[in-house]
Formats: sequence, structure tokens, C-alpha cells
Amino acid sequence: MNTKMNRSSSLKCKAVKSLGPNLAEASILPGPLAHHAATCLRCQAEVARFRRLRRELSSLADHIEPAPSTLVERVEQAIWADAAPIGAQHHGAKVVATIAGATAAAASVVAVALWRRARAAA
Amino acid sequence: MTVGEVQPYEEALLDQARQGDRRAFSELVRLHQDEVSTLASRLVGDRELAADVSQEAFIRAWRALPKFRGDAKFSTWLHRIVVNTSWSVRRSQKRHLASPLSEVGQDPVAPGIGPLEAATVASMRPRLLSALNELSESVRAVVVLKDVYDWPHREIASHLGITTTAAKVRLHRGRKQLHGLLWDELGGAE
Ligand SMILES: [Zn+2]
Repeated sequence: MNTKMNRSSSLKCKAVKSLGPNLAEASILPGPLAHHAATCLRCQAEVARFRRLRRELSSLADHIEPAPSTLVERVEQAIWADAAPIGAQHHGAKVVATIAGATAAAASVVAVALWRRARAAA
Repeated sequence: MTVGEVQPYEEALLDQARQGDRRAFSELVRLHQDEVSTLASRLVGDRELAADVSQEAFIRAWRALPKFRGDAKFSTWLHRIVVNTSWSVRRSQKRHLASPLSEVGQDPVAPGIGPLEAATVASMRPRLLSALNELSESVRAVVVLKDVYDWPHREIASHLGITTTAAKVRLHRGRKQLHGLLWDELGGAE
């Protein structure tokens, strides 16, 4: 009798565990499993771990790290050197020029990053 | 400056910057640099690359500013630019190096946290940040945007160029991996 109950319990534990990250959702467990989880310490621990993970991740939103001290200066240098038509509506050739400029800027940022990394690795 | 005063101040700066005032835009960069840099850092998992992504995102924002109509908050608009920038930088980096970004970001310590702090701070945050860095780039982006920044699945999918279903699958995989990586910190043994 006890063995039978243990086996059924362990199957339910497996069923609960198989829901994985979805366990963080309060309403995910169907009736019989919810009843089991309410009394099973192992399943409660599994649910608690996934809920804690979600809480910890969500709390990262309030944890802002300081930007590198040179960021503002780097952006300023780039926009002062930039001839993009600001203030006017972007039409036709201007749009093409802007996109080309943005692409070139992206490529140069990446190139500098790669060069820095290669230098650091050398 | 109080929270209530920031909004009108930012709107005034936006008006000026839209008309080409670079000083006003610099001030906007100053106001938003930390959140932009933090998001970039969490998406790319490498501080140096995150600095490049942040710089590039602000440059793109400057160029696109006339198109910003204020339908969304300025910070939300900026966040979208950061996500797109980190994605395109990652793509061009892949073309240059032909290796996944996760192999390039070699620093195993979480962004923004020095080794000493990571060792001494008892909270789970340093471990969480470093576990996030262990996820693949594409899985991490979905976890960060959904579970940290609470973006809707549809928006995540459209910014990353994947289907909503793929976004959900990656999220599930990422949460499962984090659960495994952070087993002890989350409560440990059964
Ligand atoms: Zn159980």
C-alpha cells in the first residue's frame, strides 16, 4: 500500500518537474497535480526555485550600472562630426545618405572594437 | 531634480535636439547613458562591446530623432534602438570573426561587477549576471528582454527577427538553463 502510494507520488513529482519553468506561473498546475504539489515538499521546492528565479531576473530591471566614463564624450565626438540632416524631414537621397552614414558608422564602431580586441589578445 | 520635473525637462531637450541642437542631445545622452549601457551590457554580455553598442545606439538615435514622434516614451524608443544595434553589431561581428559572440566575450565575470565585488557580495545578483552570460547570445537576449525588461513576446520576436513561437521556446530553454546553473543559489537540494 505504502509502496503504491510512493510510486504514485513519485510519478506526480515527475509530472510536476516536467513543467519546468512554467511552474513559476501560479495557475499552471492541473487539479490533481496542484493538490499533490500543495503537500509535497519536493515539488514545493521546485516551484519555489522557478519563482525565485523569475523574481531575481525581474529585480535586475531596477539595478542600473554606471556607463563607461567616456561614453558621453565618444557620442559627442561622433555627432559633432556627423553631417546627417537633423531637423529636416528625411526624404529620397537624404534617407539613402543617412542610411549609408549609419551603416558606415556601425561598421567603423565594429572595426575599432575588433582592432582593440585583437590588440588585447596579441 | 524631482521625478516630476524630469519629464518636462526631457521634453524640452527633445524639442531642441530634434531641431539639431547637439548640446541638448548630449544632455539626453547624459540622462540615459546608464540605462542604455546596462541594457547593452546585458544583451551582449561583454563590457567593451556593450560600450560600442551604446555609442552606436546613441548615434543612430541622433540620426533618427526627427522620426521620433513621442508615441512611446523616449527611453522605450532608445531601448528598441539598443536591441537593434546590438543585433546588427553581433551580425557584423559574426561576419568578421565567423565565431559566436559568446566565445568572443571571454570575461566570465558579470558585467559591471569586479571580481572582488563578485566574491564578497553575498547576494545572488553577481551569480545571476554571470549565469546569464553563460547562455547563448540568442537565448540570453530573449530572457533579458522578457524576464528583466518585460517586453511582450511579439515585440521581442519582431526585434530579433524570429517567430513568436521561437521566442517562447528560447525563453523556456533559457529559464531552464538558469535554473540548472543557479540550483544552489535558488534553494538547492531537494
Ligand atoms: Zn512531488
